Amino acid sequence: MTSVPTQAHRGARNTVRLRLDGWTVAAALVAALPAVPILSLALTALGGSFGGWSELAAYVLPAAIRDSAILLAGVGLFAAVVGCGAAWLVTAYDFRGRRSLEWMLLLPLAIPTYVAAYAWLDLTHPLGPLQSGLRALLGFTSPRQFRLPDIRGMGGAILLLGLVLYPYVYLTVRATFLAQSATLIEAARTLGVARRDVFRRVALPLARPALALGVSLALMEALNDIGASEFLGVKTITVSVYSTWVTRNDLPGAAQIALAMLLFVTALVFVERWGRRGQRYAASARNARPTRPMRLTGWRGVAAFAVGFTPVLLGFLAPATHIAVQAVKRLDFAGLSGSIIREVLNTVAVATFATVVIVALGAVAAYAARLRPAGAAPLLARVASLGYAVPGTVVVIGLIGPVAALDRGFAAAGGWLGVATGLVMIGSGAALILAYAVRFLAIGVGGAEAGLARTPLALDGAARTLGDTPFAALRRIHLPLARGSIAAAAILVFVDVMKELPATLLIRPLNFETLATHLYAEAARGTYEDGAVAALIIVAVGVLPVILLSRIGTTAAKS
Amino acid sequence: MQAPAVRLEAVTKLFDGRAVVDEVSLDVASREILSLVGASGCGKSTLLRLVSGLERPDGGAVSLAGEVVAGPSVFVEPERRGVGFIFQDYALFPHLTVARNVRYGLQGLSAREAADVADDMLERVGLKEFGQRYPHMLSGGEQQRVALARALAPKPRVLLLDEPFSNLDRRLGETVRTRTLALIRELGAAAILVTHDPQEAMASGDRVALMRRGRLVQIGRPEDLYDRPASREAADFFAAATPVPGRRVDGHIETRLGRFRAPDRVADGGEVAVYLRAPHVALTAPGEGVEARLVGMSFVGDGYEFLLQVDGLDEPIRARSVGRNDAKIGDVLHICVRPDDQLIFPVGL
Repeated sequence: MTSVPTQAHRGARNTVRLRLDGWTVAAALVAALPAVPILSLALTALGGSFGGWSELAAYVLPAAIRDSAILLAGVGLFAAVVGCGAAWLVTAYDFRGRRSLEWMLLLPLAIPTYVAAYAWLDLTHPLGPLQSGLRALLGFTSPRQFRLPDIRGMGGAILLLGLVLYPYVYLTVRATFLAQSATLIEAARTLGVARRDVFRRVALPLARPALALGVSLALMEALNDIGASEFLGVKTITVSVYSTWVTRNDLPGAAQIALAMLLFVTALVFVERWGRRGQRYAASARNARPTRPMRLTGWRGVAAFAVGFTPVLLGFLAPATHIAVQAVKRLDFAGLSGSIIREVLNTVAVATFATVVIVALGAVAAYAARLRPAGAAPLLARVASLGYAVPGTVVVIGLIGPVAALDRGFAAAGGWLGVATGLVMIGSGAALILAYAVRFLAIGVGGAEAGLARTPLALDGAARTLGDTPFAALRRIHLPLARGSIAAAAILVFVDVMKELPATLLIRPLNFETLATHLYAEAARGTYEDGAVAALIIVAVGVLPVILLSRIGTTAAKS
Repeated sequence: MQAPAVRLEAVTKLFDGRAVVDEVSLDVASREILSLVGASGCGKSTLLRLVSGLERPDGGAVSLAGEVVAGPSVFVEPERRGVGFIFQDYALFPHLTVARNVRYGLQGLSAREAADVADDMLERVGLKEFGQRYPHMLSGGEQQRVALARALAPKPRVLLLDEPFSNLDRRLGETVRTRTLALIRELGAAAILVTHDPQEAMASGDRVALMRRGRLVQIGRPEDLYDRPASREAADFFAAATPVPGRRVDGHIETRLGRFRAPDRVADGGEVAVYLRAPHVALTAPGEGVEARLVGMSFVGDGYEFLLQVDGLDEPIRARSVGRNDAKIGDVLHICVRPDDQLIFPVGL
């Protein structure tokens, strides 16, 4: 083969063609997962009869929006105060038990909102252990003589959600407090800031981006919640979507409310951005000498521990212990029922399958962005991560259109072949896996990105020049090196899928029960049979990522 | 005639619309070692990545051994080009042992053959006993040798080296460089060595190519670039030379340091830059030549190198003392200069 003479090339530019390479196409397919339901939701909402819009607007939406706004504001405030306070307590002060408290404060993360509501409702029932105990203590004999105020209602909902969601704020803010340089605080002291004002005037303003991030994560969870709000009788916008669809069988109406919810989420994301505005400076204090905590001894130390322990007690220990006691009673009485075993298997099966799918898709999207940093792939990886902010109910309403269309397609194909297919997508659980993928892809993408980011780009070059295709380099270099990050992401996905309630309720195959849906059904009926056992399993597995997070926290603090 | 190992024809690479490699054409003969030198950001590393296929050119063509591997309608992926690449920080795979690193590119061979080749390569770079260690257990020089063994194990036609000695201290770097070049020659690969160090470029390459702002400034044998730089940029780079401003008047060049015969390529009335090297400067008896104040001196073995500040010049010029010298900083010496015609360049064109 001869080469072309030099003159022919002078001044010539190789034509810019749209190179549709496999990795970008794969990343686009992954990004379509969240993009398609969101677009479909908009279409369903706009295509619905607008006769229904006014009725909804008049009777459902205003109250639902008001309740959701109050709930979110309350939960946000509660989580911010408790989360920041706890973070400051364990970073600015040193006292007996501080190290244990550091990780224990994360424990409420293990309790899904609906489990917390389920446990507390039972715990504070007029005939439940808390009130009976108090009455015995105070010498009353009947609930009519003494009863605590009912936790059902807006106040109880804010308290309960706040108690299990504050760790998001604690986690992000504590990391910033740990990274804050002592010199900044010392500079403030020499400029006339009293020790008691350091928190308000230096530490907290510096932690504003972390606070914004933590609160927005907590609020996304609060907005996603369906069980707790419903059990506690708060008709949030999420509950309205569910009841409009399931009870009133009005899909376009549900889509319209869901669209309003999507606007809520968008507003939340913008508020978070605004909360972080102009914030690059938090990272400037890297490699700086960390702040030395102030030592508290004697009763001050005990008091500090007691204050820090309160959210752990109310957010984790009390509900978890109650669940454990109830579960043991139930197991003593009835043994492990067949239905629970079946539900555990169902839960593990869908969670495992979804985890494998999500981690693999996340790796594809993240690796495509690494291979083609100049193309569309990095943007596609961001699009793929969108679903994390979208509540499960909204995801499902968006998915139902495309999934139904696919099922019609299968049915038509089946009819043509003379086979009755039924609802392939929903019946097989494929639609459920899709919904999980949309919602939790961000974790898969993020985990793979974190793992890949630690590998220098030169390693890719070395592998390629030594004869590896991009896929071979992924298999031989990146997967072994990113193993830890991907495994961590897999655990988070697994636990999140296992806990996920709204999407599972709405799009699971007929008569397919998981631990979460079982618990929901019993709590909704007001029966407490195997519910405690299901709740205990969910909480026990939910502790896994907490251990993981606390380990990441300590290694980050060490390095 | 045998096709060149590497041929670049008007190769262009754009980043954000800016040409970081701008219509570069050059050939590397088989078994030739070419030094590619230039300041950081001049595009030399990008050129190496274009040859390896780690980047796609936006214009022009790349051929390896006569076969077009990148051009208007052709792009051969790096894994199919048969080039070896040594990265600045070596890019050893941290999760694999030294032996596994060296075997990495030997996928076509049986396990037995691959192990034999890897053992042979490790022996050649003097790391026979290191096969079971992991990269983080090795020193910088040892890591560099593993990278060399790994890149050469698949017997590449062309070896590309991106600043491979810059992370080693100077003395170790020179030793490793000598051994590396000897091994490349022994195995008969063509090589392109990227460096920012003119000394290293001239010491290593059969030929040297100088790049500046994405363009090829000059290419030739080391002595050609040193003796006859084609432009002020080349003279600046391979210097050890101080530019002195001057002007051509009546067939002579007038400078602060005296009058010289002008080379024909400079027109009357034109501004020039006269590049002076230490051998062009002689110390003279007081009363002769030009006065210069001694501002720096460094001992270079058989004498001193002086830095001499002449009134009216921005930069001090260099001179060598004859034998030992008892001059002290601040002394006023006298100098006489005799510039090299090849180092006089017109200014402002």
